Amino acid sequence: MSSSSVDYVVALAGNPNAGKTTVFNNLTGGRQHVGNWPGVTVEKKEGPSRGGGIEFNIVDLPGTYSLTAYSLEEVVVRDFIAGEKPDAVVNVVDASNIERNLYLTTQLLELGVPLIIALNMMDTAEGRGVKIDVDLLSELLGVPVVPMVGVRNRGTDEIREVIGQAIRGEVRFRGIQVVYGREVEEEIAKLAVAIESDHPLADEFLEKYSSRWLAVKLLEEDERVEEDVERVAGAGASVLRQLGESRRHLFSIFGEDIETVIVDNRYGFVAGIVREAVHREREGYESGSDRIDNVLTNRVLGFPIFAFFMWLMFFVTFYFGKFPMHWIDRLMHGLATVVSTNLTSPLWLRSLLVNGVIGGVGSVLVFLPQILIIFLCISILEDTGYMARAAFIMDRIMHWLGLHGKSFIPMVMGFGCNVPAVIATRTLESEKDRMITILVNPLMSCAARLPVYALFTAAFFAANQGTVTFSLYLLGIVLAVAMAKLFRKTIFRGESEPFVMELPPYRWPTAKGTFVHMWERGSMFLRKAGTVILAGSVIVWVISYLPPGVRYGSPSSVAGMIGHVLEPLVKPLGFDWRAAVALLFGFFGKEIIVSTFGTLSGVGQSRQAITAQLHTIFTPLTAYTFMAFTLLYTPCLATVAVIKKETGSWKWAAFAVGYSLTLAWLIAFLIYRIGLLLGGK
Amino acid sequence: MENRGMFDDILREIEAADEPLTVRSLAVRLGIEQSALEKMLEFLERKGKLSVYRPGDCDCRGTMSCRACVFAGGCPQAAKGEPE
Repeated sequence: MSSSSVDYVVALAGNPNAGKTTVFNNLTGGRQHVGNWPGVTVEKKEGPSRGGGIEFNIVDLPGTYSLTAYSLEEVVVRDFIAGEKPDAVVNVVDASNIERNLYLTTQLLELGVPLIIALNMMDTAEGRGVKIDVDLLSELLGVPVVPMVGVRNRGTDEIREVIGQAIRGEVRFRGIQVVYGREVEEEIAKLAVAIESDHPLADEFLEKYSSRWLAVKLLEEDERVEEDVERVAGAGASVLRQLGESRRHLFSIFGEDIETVIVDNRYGFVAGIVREAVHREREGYESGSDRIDNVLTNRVLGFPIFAFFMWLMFFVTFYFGKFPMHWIDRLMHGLATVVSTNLTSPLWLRSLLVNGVIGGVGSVLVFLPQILIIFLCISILEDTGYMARAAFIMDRIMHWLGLHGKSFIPMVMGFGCNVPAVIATRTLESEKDRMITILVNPLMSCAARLPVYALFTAAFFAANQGTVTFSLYLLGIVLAVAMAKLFRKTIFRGESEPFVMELPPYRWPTAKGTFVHMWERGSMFLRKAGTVILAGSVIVWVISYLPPGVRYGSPSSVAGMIGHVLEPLVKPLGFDWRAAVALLFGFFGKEIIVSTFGTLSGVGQSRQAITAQLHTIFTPLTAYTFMAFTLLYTPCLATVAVIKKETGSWKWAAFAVGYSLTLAWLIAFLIYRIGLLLGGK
Repeated sequence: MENRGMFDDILREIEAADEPLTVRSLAVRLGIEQSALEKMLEFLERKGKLSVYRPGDCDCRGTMSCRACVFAGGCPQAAKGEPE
């Protein structure tokens, strides 16, 4: 049987993923013709079927959630149903998501077509504890409802039979429609009269659409319908005047646009039907992701679990990172030895290469394994979907402090790098929320700080590297939250806009995806090592080498002189001039703090030598104080630049630098002084 | 006249919540099917009444630093393969 030889046409409409294609295949037995809808690239499928002794052609319409004119698919479906006037429309409804699916049903009812509901996926619905009273649903909607399980070909014969009956006119369609309330219905009636009285309009459209449907669509601000009406009736037509009056009148009543009122009423209509005809045995269906979320985002357990994951991440980073780190360390040391013993070049050039380039860049590159491992951990957390939960858990803490909003999502992003995190604040609609988030974001410990923690924890807290690093990250979070609260109470007073977060389902990360993400982030570190860190190391070498004749990196060098100028500022924190120089150059990139110690030490590259040098500058207490200061003090140059760009003002960039320096100094002072009081060294 | 429909219930619930809400937790609170609520939230978002945040749904494409973003894997911009 050729699809074109039959006289009757049946349209298949439904939401995407409602099982429409399966139902179509069941009805046509796989015999189908595939083409495109005229003028668009949306696929059109049709095929023959037979039921109740009648042969008919089935047209599979594109999946849509509604019949507004927001998408091409919606327009195709609407035009076909209204223009082609199929003999029946089968609305495939996913029974397991019935409330969403019935929204389209309300709009098909409004079109006044002979509608049949194919209530598909009944087995899935029952599995989720959803019981549907099919007879009552049919009664409430005023159309036949046929339960089906498309994937098992159950209900196909029944729906064929009902289609046949509908074509023969043996089915009573009660014409039930959404009632929009007295005020709206009065305006619909006025508009319908105006449409019917306009002859060009009536001649053009009333063959296809009812005057009520056109009136509703006009009130709904359906651009396509409005354009068509204006084209046919003319710009100053009485219909359009009535439309303007009706909209103004309804706005004065409801205080919002009429589309919202109409859509709200449709959802209300659906909710009423669902309340009557659908019984849920369990309160809300729980997927596997939902069950995991019950634990991982639990009000009580959520934060401790998040903290544990963070601690575990640092433990894994330092434990597994130390082996490849030693290999790179030996490689760099070997390279430095080869260069210093074999290169027959001027002394200054050898010093530049050994102390400046290899000593500076090499001392940072040694931490590449740790950087890669921490990014691997972050990639796994992100790829599984946990990072979104972390943002949600952190936002809960912000909420407890009276801070609403999406601020913590960019802040969690700050664990990777503060630059994209500051840019990501563009998603915050509230300017005040955005400013607060930008200002506190640099307090989140980015990956660039990790080499500093790795160097110092290895030198002073070798047995507890992970725990000490974890404490620093935690310090950053606590201070970010506290500062956000302070800013909200002082300079950025106000309420945030409401928001809801959509959590992606958990998924297994793929090895390829995870390693690609790790490498993308890790390669940034390498690029930085070859650019910013290299430049910083060379500058530190130059100021350590000059003026000519002084001992390299001594107090008499330019570096020493700069350090001594700055020393009084950091002396109360237990630091000397070398720490001051390292912090100064750390402004260009926090890793440069490490390379500065490597370069200033003038000991080639050996990490043991740098560690030994650090023991002459720091004690465990001042080392921890120094790490806390590094965490908190001024954002790096790139972050400051992006703060200026995003806030459009140097004032805020300067404020970010100023307040974080002050905060860092105060916190470091407290840590040092309290540590001394407690007997620390 | 104040509109007291489904949308009003949704907005009131979000305003009144003493903690951040996920779409799922809001659906449970309101007794609305989650998939239906998602469509309602989409509509309200389009109308500027609230915002729904989908992690990775940022506006930071175009910077080298996207590579360092912790949400890079889930970034819809990155998924589109648009140039940096």
